[in-house]
Amino acid sequence: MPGSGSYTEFFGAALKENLAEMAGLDCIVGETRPQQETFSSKGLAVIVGITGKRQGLVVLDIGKESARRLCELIDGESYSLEDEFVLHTLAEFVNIVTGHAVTLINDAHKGLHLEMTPPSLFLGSELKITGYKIKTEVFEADTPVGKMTVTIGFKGGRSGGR
Amino acid sequence: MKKIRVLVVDDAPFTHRAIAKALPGDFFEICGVAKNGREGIKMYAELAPDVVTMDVTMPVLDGLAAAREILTADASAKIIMLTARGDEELVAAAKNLGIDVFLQKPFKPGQLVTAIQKICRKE
Repeated sequence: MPGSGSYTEFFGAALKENLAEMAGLDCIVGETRPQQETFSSKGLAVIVGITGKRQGLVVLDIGKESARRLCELIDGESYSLEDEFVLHTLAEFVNIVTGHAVTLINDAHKGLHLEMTPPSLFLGSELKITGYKIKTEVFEADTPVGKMTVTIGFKGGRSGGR
Repeated sequence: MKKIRVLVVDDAPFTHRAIAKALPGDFFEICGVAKNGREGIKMYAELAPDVVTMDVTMPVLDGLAAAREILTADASAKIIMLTARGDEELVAAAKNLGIDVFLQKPFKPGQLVTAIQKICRKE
């Protein structure tokens, strides 16, 4: 379990764990830093909402080619960039990573009762995260299939929330 | 030998495919796929499956609420929770409904087969 710091650490741990388990990939999780309200997407972004006593969101942003290669490693079959199953696989991967992070947070902080919304997928080059008093943090994960950017935000700020 | 008929209740096409790959066709039949809890309740009544795999986070109606409705209508329903979360609170909520077979995603094919065999042995 992650030690001191923010909730963001739990997402880094869950990403590392599930990249290894589902795709056999190692990754280097970079430093956490504040996120800008608008950022350029690498091509695909999956958003999962967090509900419960802390409300927020998780965004995993990844390039299309990286998503295709990740899908192939997870599913063990070949896919083209146009194959819709790449999007389904990416959405479920982010759902699982978020589920594991929420599990770690709920078990470490009883009473938060965090739950999740189903994942939504966005395709495009520019993404804007707007919400009343949502402050976001971001970290980058360097993997053999390319870089992923993970943004975590909670209402009321302090993605670190403790 | 009679195949075990499985109803999959999950909104993720990835999971539909993963479950289909995990269950050998000689022994299991996926008799239906529901994409949310409300569809799951309807299909359970129509199909009378031997086992249900139930996700938790779904649109329209979540898996815990759907499982509660199915078990209210049929106390002998065999439901496996199959979900990305595995926190103590969620596991306890499932246990309160009488569901004690819980698999956290991602699952290995053997884990799902074992879980289905385990729940089918129970009366």
